[in-house]
Amino acid sequence: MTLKTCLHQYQIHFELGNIKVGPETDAPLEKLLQELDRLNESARLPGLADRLNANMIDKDKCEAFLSFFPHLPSEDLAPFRQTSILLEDEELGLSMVEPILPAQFQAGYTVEITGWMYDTIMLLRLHIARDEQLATSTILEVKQALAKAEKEVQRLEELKERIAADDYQALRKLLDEISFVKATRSALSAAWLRNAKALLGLDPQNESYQTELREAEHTHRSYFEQPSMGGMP
Amino acid sequence: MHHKVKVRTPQSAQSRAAAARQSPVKAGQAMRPPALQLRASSQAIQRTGGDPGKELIKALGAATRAVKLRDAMSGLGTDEQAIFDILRPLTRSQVKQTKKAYLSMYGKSLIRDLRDELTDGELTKALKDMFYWPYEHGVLGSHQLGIARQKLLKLAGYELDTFSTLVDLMRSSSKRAYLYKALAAGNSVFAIIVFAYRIKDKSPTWINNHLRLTNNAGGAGIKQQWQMSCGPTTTQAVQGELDPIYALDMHDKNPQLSQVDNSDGTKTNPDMAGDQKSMLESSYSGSAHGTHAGKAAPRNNTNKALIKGRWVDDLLNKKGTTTGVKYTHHGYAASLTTFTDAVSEIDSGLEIGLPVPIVIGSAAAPNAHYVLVTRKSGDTYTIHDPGAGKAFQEKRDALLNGTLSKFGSYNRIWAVETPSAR
Repeated sequence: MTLKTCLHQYQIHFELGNIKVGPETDAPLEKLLQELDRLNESARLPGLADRLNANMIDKDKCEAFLSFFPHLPSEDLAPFRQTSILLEDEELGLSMVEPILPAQFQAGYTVEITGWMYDTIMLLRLHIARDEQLATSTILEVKQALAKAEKEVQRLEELKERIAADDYQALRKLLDEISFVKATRSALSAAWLRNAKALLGLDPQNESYQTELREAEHTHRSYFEQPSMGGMP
Repeated sequence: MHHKVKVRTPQSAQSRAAAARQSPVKAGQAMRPPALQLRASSQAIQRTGGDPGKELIKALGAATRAVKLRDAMSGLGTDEQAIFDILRPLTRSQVKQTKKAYLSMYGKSLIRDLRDELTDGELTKALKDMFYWPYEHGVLGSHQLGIARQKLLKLAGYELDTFSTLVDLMRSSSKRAYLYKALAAGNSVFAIIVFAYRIKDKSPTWINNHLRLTNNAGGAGIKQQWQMSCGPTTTQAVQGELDPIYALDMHDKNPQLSQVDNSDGTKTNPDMAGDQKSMLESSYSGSAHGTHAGKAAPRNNTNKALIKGRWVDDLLNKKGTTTGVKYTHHGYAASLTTFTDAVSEIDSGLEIGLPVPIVIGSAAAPNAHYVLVTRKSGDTYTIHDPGAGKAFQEKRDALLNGTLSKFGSYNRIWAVETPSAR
């Protein structure tokens, strides 16, 4: 069964960014991947590697997820009948920073329904093997980058205090830099959180993983960067 | 709008007087009433215990003006100039006494008679003298004042009388201005009666804190109850700036509208939060972007996929037919030249007394947050931030240079919803 026939048979829609594809959509996979490119372009941050940017969705993972979806057993697909599935939900696990190797999709996956939005959009969690080594190394890399970003924010904030109030050009340039570094810090903290969650999922009794997750949650909450008050498309 | 058609004939003062003489009934009416008026005045003196001499002079003056006004409207044609000459120099209290005298002497409403005799343009001029258009009070600007005038002309006779009585009832010019504002916002005279009786004995502080949704005590104002509902909240703030009855209703239903429960949008102000959510999640039909809808989530949510903003130019225009205000979306590349354009758009709205929604953001997060520019004093702009639920002030240079400093990382203007006459 292809993705299109699956969507048609179960009357399923997928939502991503500003688009919604379903049985009525021609070439749904292409349309989703096109929107994904647009979203990733707007989420890209200068100086931050895409693989550490939690706001970007991994095209390979997304494609692998959608390719396998029609092959889920019919009893697994049945609950999705006449629903919409939100692809960018971080719990689904398709972001760049999720410690999943593309090869793991070939072994298949299961999904768990975690909730609903507005009674029509289904939220899912992907059950697929996470790679412990990748999660650990990503966390290490993220923490180093976070420390660097934090230092940079402090340096720029101090610099701001020294700029003359009427030197608008310098001030604007600095404010722009600060906004990017803070956005980077926020994206990194989200990457830390995702990987800490993945580690604890692999070994829920592991105390050091529990501590790791608590620290990651605290940091992410304190760094969560706007747009949290509007965010128009 | 109705237009009166009158046949004009050139008339000298003598011919007008002659015409009046040929109308014995009207002349007779003009002779009788002063006695009635004096009797009424002496009763008033007994009631109030005022200075009999002064009261008598006032009553005589009012009766004389009533007779002169009646005379100017009698016979063939109307002496508009005489009407304006009588009305213009009057104080507010003299206008009130003259209306009362006219009613007592002729058993008719002065305003309704003027309406029957004058064209729309002349009536506007006469009403301006009688109603004391509240230019000076910053409550409503020139745009709403113009709308109020138009709406006043369209009122039925009994509505005009009622509105005039309500205006007389108000003891401060700002309260009178709020009545005109309520009329300009498209409210019925019946709704304005209820409103007038609610505000008539209230203090200036109460008036400031309840008849708008921004710049209340300490700069507080309406707060967004969801993470991405800045646009809908700004829409509510705009409506509150334009319509004091809506603002009062919002305060009644949401007594803590500057507060929020970050973990549950429905907890602190369920009525306001419900409106924000339904606006945010409604399908967009404006000109800023293609079809989309926002997604509401508690303000402490950090899962970006579960929250989405929404442009609101379409929502701002929904009430336009009653408020007479149209909002036009202007998106910018947020460079120096566009900052100048944006500030010019903001100024054009504020100059006619209308609030201007703008979208701010940073270089890293464009089009991030709706805020509302409510006023300007010199080079300082007052901007209501629905995220914080309070107003901040920014200098013109900060707007022009992309160096806003009161809104976290958001330093630039990315879009302006420019208001204008519909």
